[in-house]
Amino acid sequence: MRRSLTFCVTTLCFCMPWGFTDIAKSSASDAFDWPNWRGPQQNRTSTETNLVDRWDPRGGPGSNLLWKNEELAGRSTPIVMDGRLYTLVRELPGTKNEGAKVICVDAATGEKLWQHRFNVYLTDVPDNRVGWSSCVGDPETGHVYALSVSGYFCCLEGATGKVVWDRSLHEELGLLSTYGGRTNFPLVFEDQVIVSAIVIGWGDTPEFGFLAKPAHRFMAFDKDTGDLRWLNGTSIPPTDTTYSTPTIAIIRGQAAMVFSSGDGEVWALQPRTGKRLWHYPFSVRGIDSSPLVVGDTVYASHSEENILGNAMGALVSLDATLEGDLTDRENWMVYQVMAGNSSPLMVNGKLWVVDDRAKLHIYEPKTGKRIARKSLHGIAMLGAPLVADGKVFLSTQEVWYVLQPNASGVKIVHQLRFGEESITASPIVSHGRIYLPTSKALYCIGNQQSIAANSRGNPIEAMGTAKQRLGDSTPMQGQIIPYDSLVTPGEGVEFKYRLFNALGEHLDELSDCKTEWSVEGPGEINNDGVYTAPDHASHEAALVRCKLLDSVEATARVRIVPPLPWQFDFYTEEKVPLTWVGGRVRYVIREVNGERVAVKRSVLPTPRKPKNKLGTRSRMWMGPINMANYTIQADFALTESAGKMPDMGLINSRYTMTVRSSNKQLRVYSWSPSDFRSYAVVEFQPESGKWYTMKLRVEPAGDRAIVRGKLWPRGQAEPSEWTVEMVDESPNLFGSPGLYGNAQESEIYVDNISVTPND
Amino acid sequence: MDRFQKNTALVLAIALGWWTGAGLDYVAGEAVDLANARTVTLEWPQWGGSPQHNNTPVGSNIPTDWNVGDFDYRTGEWDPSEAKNIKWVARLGSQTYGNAVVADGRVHVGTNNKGGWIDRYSSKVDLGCLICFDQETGKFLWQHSSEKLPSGRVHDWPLQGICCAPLVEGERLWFVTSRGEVRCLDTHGFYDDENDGPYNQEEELLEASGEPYELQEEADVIWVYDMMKEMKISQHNMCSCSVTAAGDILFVNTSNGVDVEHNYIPAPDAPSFFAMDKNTGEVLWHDKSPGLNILHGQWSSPTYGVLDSQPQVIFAGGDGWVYSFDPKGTEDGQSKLLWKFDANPKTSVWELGGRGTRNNIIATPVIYEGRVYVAVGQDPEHGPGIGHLWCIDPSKRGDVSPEIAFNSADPDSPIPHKRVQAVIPEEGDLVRPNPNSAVIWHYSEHDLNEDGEVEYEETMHRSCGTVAIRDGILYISDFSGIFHCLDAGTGKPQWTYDMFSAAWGSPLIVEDKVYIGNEDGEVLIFRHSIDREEAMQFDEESEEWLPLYGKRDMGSSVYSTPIIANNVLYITSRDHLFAIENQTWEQDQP
Repeated sequence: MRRSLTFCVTTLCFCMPWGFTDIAKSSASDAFDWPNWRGPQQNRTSTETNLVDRWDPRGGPGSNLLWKNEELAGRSTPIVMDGRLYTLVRELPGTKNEGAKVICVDAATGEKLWQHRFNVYLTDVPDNRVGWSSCVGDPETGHVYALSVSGYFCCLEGATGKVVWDRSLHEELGLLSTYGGRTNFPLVFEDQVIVSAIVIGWGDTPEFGFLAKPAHRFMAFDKDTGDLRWLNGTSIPPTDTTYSTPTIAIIRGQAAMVFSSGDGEVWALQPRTGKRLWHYPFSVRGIDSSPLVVGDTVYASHSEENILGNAMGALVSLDATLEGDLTDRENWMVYQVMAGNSSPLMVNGKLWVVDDRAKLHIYEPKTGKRIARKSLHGIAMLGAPLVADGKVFLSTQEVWYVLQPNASGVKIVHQLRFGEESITASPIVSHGRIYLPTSKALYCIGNQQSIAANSRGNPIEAMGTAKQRLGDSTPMQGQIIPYDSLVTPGEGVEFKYRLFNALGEHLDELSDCKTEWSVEGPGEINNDGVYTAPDHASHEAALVRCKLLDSVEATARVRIVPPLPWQFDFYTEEKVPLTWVGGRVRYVIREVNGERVAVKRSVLPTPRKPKNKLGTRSRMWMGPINMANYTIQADFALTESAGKMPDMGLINSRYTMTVRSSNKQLRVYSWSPSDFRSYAVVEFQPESGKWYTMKLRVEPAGDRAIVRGKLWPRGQAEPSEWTVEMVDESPNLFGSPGLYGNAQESEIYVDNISVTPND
Repeated sequence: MDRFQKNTALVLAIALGWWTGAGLDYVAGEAVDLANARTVTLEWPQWGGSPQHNNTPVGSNIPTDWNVGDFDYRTGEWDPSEAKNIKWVARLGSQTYGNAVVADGRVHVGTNNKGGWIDRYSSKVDLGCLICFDQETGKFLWQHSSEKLPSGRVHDWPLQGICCAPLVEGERLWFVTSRGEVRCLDTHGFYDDENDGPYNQEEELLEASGEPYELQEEADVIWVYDMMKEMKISQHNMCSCSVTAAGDILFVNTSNGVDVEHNYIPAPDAPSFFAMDKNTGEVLWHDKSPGLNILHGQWSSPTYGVLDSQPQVIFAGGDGWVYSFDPKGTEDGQSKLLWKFDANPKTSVWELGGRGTRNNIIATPVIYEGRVYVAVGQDPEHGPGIGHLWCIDPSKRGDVSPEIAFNSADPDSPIPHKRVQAVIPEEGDLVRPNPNSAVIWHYSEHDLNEDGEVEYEETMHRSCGTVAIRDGILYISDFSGIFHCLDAGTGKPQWTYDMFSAAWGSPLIVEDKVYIGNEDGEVLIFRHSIDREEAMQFDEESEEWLPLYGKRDMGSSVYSTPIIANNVLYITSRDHLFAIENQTWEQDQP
C-alpha cells in the first residue's frame, strides 16, 4: 500500500530521554559502531539483537520512528561511530550555490552537530548523483574520510568536522569524474586510507607506470597525512567507471583486498603494497557490486555481459587462495543472475542475492544450487540488505522489507511502500537504531528496548588485521613515500621507505637499513633520501629510485613546476610537458601552417580500437592546486569535420571558460551539468580554422570569486571590456590551471599558453 | 451468473482443458466475433504492425502454454528436451530491445553481436546487428552489421545493438542504424544473386576488411542516408527509431539529443523529425521544433494515419511535446505543423535521472478510431516516476496543449516554452487552461477501489510502453510494473495488475488474450476483458489474482513486444527469438 509521507517535521522529538542527552563515547572498536557502509565485518551483517521489525514513517506513538531528518536525505549510506552519524549529501540543492557536504548529527537524536561544505567542480556529474559514495570512519583516530563525486577527498576530525587534510584527486592525480557519478568508497586499513577510480594521470612511459593511460587504480594514502603510499591497479584500459567496495580479508595469512573492477575482473591486491595476487575475468563491462568474502571463498556477481556466450549476469564462487589468472578455475558459476548493484550476503549459512530487479535468490553456497526465489515489490534494487537479529532488513528502490529466513526460503515480517520517495542507499544499524536514508529524509528506527539491548558492543579487531605476522622477515617489496610529489624548483622532498615481506607485511624492524638512492631526471638526492629539485627546472619530472638492502628496489615520482609566470610556446619541445595531468597522449605537438602548436587529438588509437575517441573529451591540469589569483590565456583554433567543430576551454581555479561551438556560446562555470549553479553565458560563433585568443581571470574576493573572461581574434588588440563575467557566491578560491577540450569531432589547436599572476 | 460463479467456471474450464471459446458471453464477445470475421494477420511488417501502431493482429489458436527449454549459457546450446510449443528458436545477441518484424517469409530483428552469427566478426566485436531469419525454420539468412561509432557511449552505447524495429514492404526494408543512418536493404539479401543499388560498395568494403566472408551472410544495401553527416544530428546514447511510411514517404525521428553534460544540446538546429522518399532516400522536409528544449534523447517512433480526412504524421519529441504534421510538408519543402501538444503539466520540473515530474516521450503514439493515445516516460535508466497517459483529439489545430503558460509581466501573451520548467511561479509565471485544448481524457491516478487513497497500483507511472486498444478496451504497461486496463473512450481505469517487474514493451491483443512481457523475463497472459475478474483468476494457493492464462518464463528479460504473424507468436527475450506455435492443436480444441 502506498503511504504518502507528507508531514514536514524535520526532527521528531518524542519523549525518549534515553537517546537525547549526550553522545556516549563508545569504544573505538565497538562492534555496534558501523564505521563503513558494509559494516564492521565488511559483510553487511550486525551482531545486534532485539531490533524493531515494524515501524511507521509517519511517526507518532508506537511508530518506532525515533527521528527523521530531511537534511540527511540522499543516496549515500550513513555511518555511525562514537555516537555520531555521518553522511554525504547535497548542500543547497537546486540553487546557484549548490555544493556537497559531509554532515554529522547526533546518532541518537538526529540533531546536527557540524557540517563540512565543499564545492562540486570540474565534473560532468549531475546534481542528483551527488553523495554517491559514503563516509568512512576510522575507529582508531576518530577521523572521517569522504570522497566527493568530483574527486575532492577529505579527512575530517570526527568530533568537530575540522579538516585534517584534503586533496583534489582529479586535479592532482587525474581521477576521472563522469556523468555516471559512480564514486568509490574509501577504505581504512591499518594506517592507510585507500580509494580508487579510473585514473588518467601524468607519465606516459613504463618507468612512470603508464599513468597517463586510463586504468582503474587504487590510491593508498597515509591516513594521518594524506601522503600517497602507492598507486596501482588493474588493466589498461578499463571499460567503465565502477564503485565496488573492496573487502580486506586474511587469506592463508596474507591480507588481500578483494574487489570488482572497472575492467570487468575480480581482483585481489595486497592492501599494503598494491601487489597483484590474483584476478578473475568475469565480465566484458565494469562491475559495481562488492564481492563477499567468507573464509577463503569469494562470491561475486554482476549484471553485464559475460566473457563467453550471449547471457548477461552471473554469480560466481572463487577460491581466494589461488594465484594468478583464475579463468576457468571457478568453484561454481550461475549465469543469468542480474545482480550488478546489490552485493551477495550470507544469511544463516545460505547465500542471498537480490538482483537488480528486486528479485531475491537464495543459493546453497557450496554448490550454487538455487534454493528459493522471491519477487519483492519495487522494480529495482540499488542498495544492499542488512543482516541482523536473525532477520534481513532491506529496501528495494520503493519498498522497505523486514524478512525472516525460514526453511523454505523467506517470510515477510514487514513491508512498507514509500510512494514517490526512492531508496538508493542501504540501511545500517548501530546501537539498536536502524538508519534508512531515502530521497526525502533519513529515518532512525528503533525503540527503548532495541537501544537498551545494544548499548555497547564487544571490542572487535580492526579490519582484516592478522594478530601476528605470518610471513618471514625477508624483504621482498619496497615502497618510497610519498609516491607522487609536486615541488617548485629548489624545493626538497624528504622521502621515507618501507619494506615488506612477500606476504605484504610491513617489516618495521628494517626501518633503518642500507639504502642507495638515485634520481633519473632533474634534481639530486642525498643518502638520507632528501631530494632537491634544481633551481631552474621548469615543468619537468624525475623518477626517484631507492635500492634497499641491495635486493629490493622502489620508485617514486616527482613533478617540478615553477612559480608563475608560465609560458608554453612549443617552439622546440617534442612533447607537451610530462608534468601535465592528462596531458600526454591526449595532446601532441605538431606543426600546423608553419606554427608548432599543441594539438588536442580527435582520435586516440588503442591496439584494439584504432579509431578510439574515448578520452578526446577531457580536462588537463598543469600545476599545484594551491594556485590562486591568476590569469590563464591561450591562443586556439578549432578545426572542422563534417560541419562540426570541437569545444575548447580554459581552466582557472576550478572554473572553466568554454567555447561551445555547437550552441554558439561562450560560457563560464564551475559545475557544467548543473542547471542552477552559478554560470554566465554569451553568444559566440567561432569560425573554423580561425585563431582566437582566450583569457580567463579568477580573482578571490573574500567570500566571493570574480570570474571574468575575454575572447578576441588573435593578432587584434585585446578588447578593454570583459566578454563574459560572473560573481560566484560559493567561490572556488584556488586550483590548478588547465585546459578543457572536446575534440571528439575534430582537432583543437592550442598555442601560446600563459599563466600569470593577477595584477 | 455472478462473479464468483464465473470464476469457478473458468477455473474448472481451464482445469478440464476445454476453455478455448468457452464463456465468450462475458468476455469481449464482439471482439472475438470481429476477430473471427477478419482475415488472419499474415505479416507484422513494422513496429505496432501498422502505421497506426495498434498491436491487435488477428490470429487463431495462439498458444498460452509453452516452455522455452533450457540453454547452456557458456556454449549457447539449446536443450529442447523440456521445450513445448516452440516452433524454432534463434540465438540473438546479449541485449535485444528492438522488435522482430515478420514479412515476406522472413523475420528481421535488431540486436547486438554477442550471438556471433558471421565469421567476419568475432562475437567479441561489438556491433549493431540487424539479423534476418527464415520465417518457417528460423534458419539464419543474413546480417547487417553496424560497427560501433568511435565516439563511444555518448552516441552509440556499448552492446545495445540495433534498438529499432525495421519497416518491410515487399523486398525492401528500412531501418535506423546505431550509427545514425537510415538504411534501405533488400530483404532477399544476396540470395537473389544481385547487388541491388544504387549503393553497391558492399563487396568492395568486405574485400577491404581483409576478413573472410560469405556474401550471402551479408546485407544487400540499397541506399544509405547518414543523419550525422547530412543533418549534423547528435543522437544521445543511441540512435533508434522504428520508421513508418505512407505511400512513398518514409518518416523518421532523428534521435537528436543532449551531449555528455546533459544540459548541452550540441545540435539544436539539426532536425528532430523528417520525411524522405523511401525509394531514393531524398529528404522531403524536416522539422527541428524540439531544438534547445530537448530534455535527453528522442527515441519515439512516428505514427501515420488519416484523421478526419487529413493525413497526419505524428511525432513525439524529446521535449515532451507531441507534434502532428501534414505528411506532404509545404510546397517549398518545409514542415507543415497541424498541431502540437505539451504532454506534461506546465509546472512540472525536469530533473536529470531523478524523480523529476517533467518527462519526455519514449512511447509511440497510437491511433485508434480517430483519436491519438500516448504516454510520457523517460530513459529506463532514470527509474520510475510520475507518468501521464493522454487521449488527444487530432482534429484541432495549433497549440492544443491542456495548458498555456504566461507571465504576470504580460499576462495576455503566452511565453516561450522553457526546457527545465515551463512555468516557474516564483518568477511570476502562471498557467491557464487552454481553450483550444485537445485533451479528451487524461490518466495519471485514480482511486480505483474508492478507499480515499491513491495507491501505487492506482497510479500511472512513467512508461516506455505503447497502448494497445481493441473493443474500446485499452491496455498499457508502465515502467513501475503496473499493467493498466482502461476504457479507451472515457479514460476510466478498470483494473490494474502489479507485475513486480519493470515493463519496457507493449501489449499484444489477439483472440481473447492480452500478452505483455517484462524485465523479469515473464510473459503474462490476461483474458481480454474490461472486468478484472474475467481478465484474471484468483489463485487460492498464493491468495493473489493472477493473469487468467498464466505467466510464461522466457529465460531472460523481455524488453520487446509479443507479435503475431500467420498464427505464430514471436517473442524476443534479451538473447533469443522464439517462434511459438500451438503444436497440440487437437488437445486444445474445445
